[in-house]
Amino acid sequence: MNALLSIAWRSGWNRRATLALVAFSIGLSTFLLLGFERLRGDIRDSFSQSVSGTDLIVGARTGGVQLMLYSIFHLGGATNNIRMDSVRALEQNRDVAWVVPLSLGDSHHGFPVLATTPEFFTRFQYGYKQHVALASGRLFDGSLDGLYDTVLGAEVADALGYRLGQHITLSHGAGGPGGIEHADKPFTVAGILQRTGTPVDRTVHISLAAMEAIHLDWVGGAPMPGVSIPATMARKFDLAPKQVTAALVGLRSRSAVFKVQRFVAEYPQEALMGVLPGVALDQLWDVVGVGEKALLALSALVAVVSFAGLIAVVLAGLNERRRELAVLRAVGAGPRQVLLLLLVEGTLVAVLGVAFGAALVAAITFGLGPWIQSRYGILLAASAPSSAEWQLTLEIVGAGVVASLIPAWRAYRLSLVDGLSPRV
Amino acid sequence: MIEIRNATYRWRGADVDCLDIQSLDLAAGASLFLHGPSGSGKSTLLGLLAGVLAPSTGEVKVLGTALKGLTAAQRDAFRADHVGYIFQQFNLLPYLSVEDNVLLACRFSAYRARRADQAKRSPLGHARHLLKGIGLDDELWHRKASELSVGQQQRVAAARALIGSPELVIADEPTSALDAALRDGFMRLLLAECERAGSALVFVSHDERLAEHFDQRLSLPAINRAGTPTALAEVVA
Repeated sequence: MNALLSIAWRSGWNRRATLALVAFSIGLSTFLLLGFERLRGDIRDSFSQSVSGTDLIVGARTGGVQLMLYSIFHLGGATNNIRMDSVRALEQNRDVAWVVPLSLGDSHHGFPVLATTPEFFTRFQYGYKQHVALASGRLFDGSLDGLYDTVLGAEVADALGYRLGQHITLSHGAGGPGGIEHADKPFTVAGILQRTGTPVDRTVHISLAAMEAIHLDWVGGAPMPGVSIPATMARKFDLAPKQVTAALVGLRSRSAVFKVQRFVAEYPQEALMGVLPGVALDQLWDVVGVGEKALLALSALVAVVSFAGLIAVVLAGLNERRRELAVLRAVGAGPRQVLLLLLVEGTLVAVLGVAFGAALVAAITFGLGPWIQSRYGILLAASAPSSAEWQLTLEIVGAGVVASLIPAWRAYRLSLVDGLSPRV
Repeated sequence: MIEIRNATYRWRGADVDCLDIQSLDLAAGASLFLHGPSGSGKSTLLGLLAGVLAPSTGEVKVLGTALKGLTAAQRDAFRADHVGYIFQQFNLLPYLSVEDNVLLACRFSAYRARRADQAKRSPLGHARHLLKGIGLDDELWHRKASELSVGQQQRVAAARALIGSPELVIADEPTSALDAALRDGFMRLLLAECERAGSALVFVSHDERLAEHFDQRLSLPAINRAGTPTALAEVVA
């Protein structure tokens, strides 16, 4: 066996140019399959780590997935706001421990602005019941003095290079070219949060009153012509919000969750809905799962193509190697050893290709992980391969062995027919 | 050493035998020149002697072992242990060094490796001894086989056939690719080395001038009663 391994290695090395190409293509398909598996797992982790300790998300009636994506991940848009009265009614419910209203819509350099109450920072949890914590500065307290205070997520501060005390202006809506700035009411960076690996990192937090203040002189999504209320004057107006986008709800006991959900759904004054974050995530994975399967099938197809390449290259080379096989038979190798030799060769190529692909995945996770996290908020775990990844790796190598069986079988037949006199 | 009695061989699916030999004997250490033009059943006979083929009927004994009684795998192992084989050309694996090509025979047979140990303390020692014996410069020993000339390659093939001193060396027209000067040198060397190793030599060639060097001389068409299609065609004509 050792002799065969060494001969297979050196024979293969002799044809390294073509075999390296095959190994490269196997490597790329391994990269696709493994990279996809890792990305899929990490995206799911990132999403499910993003909210915990919240029992219900309440908003205007829409899809459960949509409500969760919008309120927690700030992706997509809300169909409708909910009235503050409804939020207060919810607070009165006996089973409800706390309600944190959320108001969304504005942005700062592409980062979403979230208006909420100071309670958000104590109630919101992520990962395994972790609270958000300040890296520096302080939180806004909801007082009029601190009306224009803002608390930045770690990524916002990092990406834009903001320090405490710096003044920033918010953009109306999603911002971008042609967008309108709330330039008349600049905010002061009061605090910067520690990194959480959740959408909080990419969010600019202000108070609900501040959200009202910057829109005092606005109507229907545009500044009122001829009306301008200076920043300091705004404090004299009633800044209590009339509407918010959604609310996070914590219960006294989790067992009441369906009761409260029904209460929300049957709330007579407004069309509301409440979703359980876990249930909404499951629904999301159901939707995404179809696309994932399609992508996985496509990646698998690429792997099949690269293994077809392996078969073709080894088969094509076999005719020129009939003398080599005859020499091996002359020194005592049996057809079975010839079969084994070709099997070892194909397996070596497959293993090298898979190793290359896995190394590429690791290199990209290490090298581009931070960039991907800052750009897309997905934390690529530079961790040891999961059991699913090991299984996938073994499956690809297994496919390589099976593919190698085809040229190996052909070599077996050839060496049986040829014996010591190859017909070349 | 070799004992053939009424051995026939018929390819699967063929209606006539391509080889039918009543009797052929060779003593241990002796040399046999087989004169055989192409189509006289040469490949078949060598295949039978090397144990790649098993006779359809009759008996082929090598070293007292009836090859027909062995399985294909056992015959492969038998060849690895007891037979050195030299082809017309392309004897070497181009991607192995000269030394490794010679050692190849020991890799497939522990018995040959042991005999090489006994001869020169290690397979490598025996390989180097043989390479020196065939007159190959030691600077070429680590070169790849593909870098050698045809004449040098044939000599290395002889060294490989002889490593571990197998009881039987089969040479299938080993000089046909060599010119006259190289041919004579190769012949002398092969015979001398076989004698030194005590190996019997079966040498097939269509060049009858070489026959004088051998203990025993036979014409394959004369002993092959089957008559091949071409031979038959000649008789009819």
